[in-house]
Amino acid sequence: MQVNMIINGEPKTLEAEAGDLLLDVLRRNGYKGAKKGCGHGTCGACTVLMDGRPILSCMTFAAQAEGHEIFTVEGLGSVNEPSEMQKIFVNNGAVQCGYCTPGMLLATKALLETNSDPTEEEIKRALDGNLCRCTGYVKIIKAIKEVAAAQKSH
Amino acid sequence: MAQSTWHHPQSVAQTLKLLNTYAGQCVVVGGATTLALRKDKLPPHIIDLSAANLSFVRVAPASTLIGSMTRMADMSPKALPGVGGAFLAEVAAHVATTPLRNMITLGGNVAQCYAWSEMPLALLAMDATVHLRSLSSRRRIKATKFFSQSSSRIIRDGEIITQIEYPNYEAGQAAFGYEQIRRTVTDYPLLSVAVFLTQDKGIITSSHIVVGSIKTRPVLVTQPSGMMLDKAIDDIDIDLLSAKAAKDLIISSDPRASTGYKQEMVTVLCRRALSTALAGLAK
Ligand SMILES: Cc1cc2nc3c(=O)[nH]c(=O)nc-3n(C[C@H](O)[C@H](O)[C@H](O)COP(=O)(O)OP(=O)(O)OC[C@H]3O[C@@H](n4cnc5c(N)ncnc54)[C@H](O)[C@@H]3O)c2cc1C
Ligand code: FES
Ligand code: FES
Repeated sequence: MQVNMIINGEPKTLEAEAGDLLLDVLRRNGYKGAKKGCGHGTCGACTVLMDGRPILSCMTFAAQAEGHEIFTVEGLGSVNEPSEMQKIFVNNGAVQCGYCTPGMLLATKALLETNSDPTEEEIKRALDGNLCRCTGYVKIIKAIKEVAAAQKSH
Repeated sequence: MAQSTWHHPQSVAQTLKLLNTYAGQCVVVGGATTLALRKDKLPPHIIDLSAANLSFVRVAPASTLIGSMTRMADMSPKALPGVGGAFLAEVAAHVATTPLRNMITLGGNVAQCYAWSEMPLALLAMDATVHLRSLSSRRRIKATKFFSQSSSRIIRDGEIITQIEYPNYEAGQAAFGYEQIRRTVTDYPLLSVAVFLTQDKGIITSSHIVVGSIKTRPVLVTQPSGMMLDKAIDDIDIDLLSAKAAKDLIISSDPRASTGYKQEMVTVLCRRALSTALAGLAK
C-alpha cells in the first residue's frame, strides 16, 4: 500500500503495510526524531504534528495519515542548523538524555501557534501527554517561556 | 498475517455502502486508538471515518447535534452551546492527554464503552440521544437504553453512530457537576461521577447521578437521583444523597484500588459534583 502525505512541507509517497503504525513508517524513512517509548499512548515520545496538532504516532496507523500534513522534529532544524526553539531548550538545560525532547519541542510548537503567551498552567496542560523520564520539567517549562518571549520579540 | 485494505470514504453514504459490501469482514475507525493496540488482529477491511463529513456541530432550536467524528479537543465550550455543551466540554477536557484528545472521537468513545470511558457518563446524565444509521435504517436511541447493554449488542451490523444529540438548556435552567480521580494524568480514571440537574422556579425537575469506573459500563444511580425530584433546591440534603449513592452501588474489583476505597470516594465525589450542580442552579 502507498500512503501520500506531506512531511515537513514536502509531498511524500511512503510504502506501508495496512497494520503499520505511523511511527514505524516515519522511522523507516529516516524521520528518526519520533521515538518509541511505551508504545501504547502514555509517554508522548512518539509525538508528531498532524495538520498542526500533536498526535501519538505509536497509536496512529500510517494509513490514517493519507492526505494529511505531518510535521516531525526534523522539520524544526538539524544538529548543524538548530532552530531558535531547539537552541533555547539546549541553553536552558531542558535536554538531558533527549528521548522526550522531540515530543516536547513539537508540543511546544503546537502550543505557541495557537497561544503565543501561555501561562505556566497552560504550558503544563499542553505537555500533559509528554513524559520526561529525566524529570527535567522545571527547565523545560522555563525554556518554553523563553521560546514564547523570543518569538514575541521578533 | 492476511493483508487488510484501508478505505477512506468521503461521505456517510459511501461509508454505509462499504459496510454493506464488506459485511462481517470490516471495522470502522474513528481515532483508531483501540485498534492501534490490536494491530496484529485487523479484519480484511478497515473503514476510516475521518473524511466522511462526520465532524460537525449543528445547533437547532431545541437541541444540538455533534458529529460522531468530533475529536475530544474540538469539544470546547465555545464550540458547543448551552449548559449541555459546557457539560460535554468539561468532561471531554478530562479525557486522557492533549495528543490523545486530538485523536479520540466522540463516536469511538461512545461505541467502545470501556469501564473508564467518560463521554458516556455525560450522555447518560443528560439522557442524550445517539443517532445511528445503516444503509436501510435510521435509529435514535436514548443514552439510558444505549448504555444498558454492550455496544456490540446495540449497534447492529452495517450501522454506525452518526451523531449525538443533546437538549439545549439556558444557564439557570440546568446545571452539572463532574468529578473524578486518577492516579496520574495518563492513567484511566479510577472513579468518575457526573451529575446533571434541571429546575423550574427553584424546584428540581430532573436529576441524574452517574458513576463511572465501578463496573463494565457507567451506572445511573436511580434512587438518590429520584429522591431529588420535585424538591426545592434549598431542601436537597447533599450528604444524605451522596452517602445513599455510595451505599447502593455494587463495585467491581479494580487492581488499582480497593472496593472500600472506591465506595468511600463515591460519597466524596458525589458530594462535590452535587454541590457544584446545585450551586450552578442557584446562580
Ligand atoms: C493511554 C490512553 C488513555 C486514555 N484515557 C482515557 C480517559 O481518561 N478517559 C476516556 O474516556 N478515554 C480514555 N482513553 C480512550 C479510550 O480508551 C478509547 O481508546 C477511545 O475512547 C476510543 O476512541 P477512538 O475514536 O479512538 O475509537 P476507535 O478506536 O476508532 O473505535 C473504537 C471502537 O468503536 C467503533 N467505532 C468508532 N467510531 C464509531 C462510529 N462512529 N460508529 C460505530 N462504531 C464506531 C470501532 O469500530 C471500534 O470498535 C484513553 C486511551 C488511551 C490509549
Ligand atoms: S511511544 Fe507513543 S506514547 Fe509512548
Ligand atoms: S530529557 Fe531524558 S526523558 Fe526527557
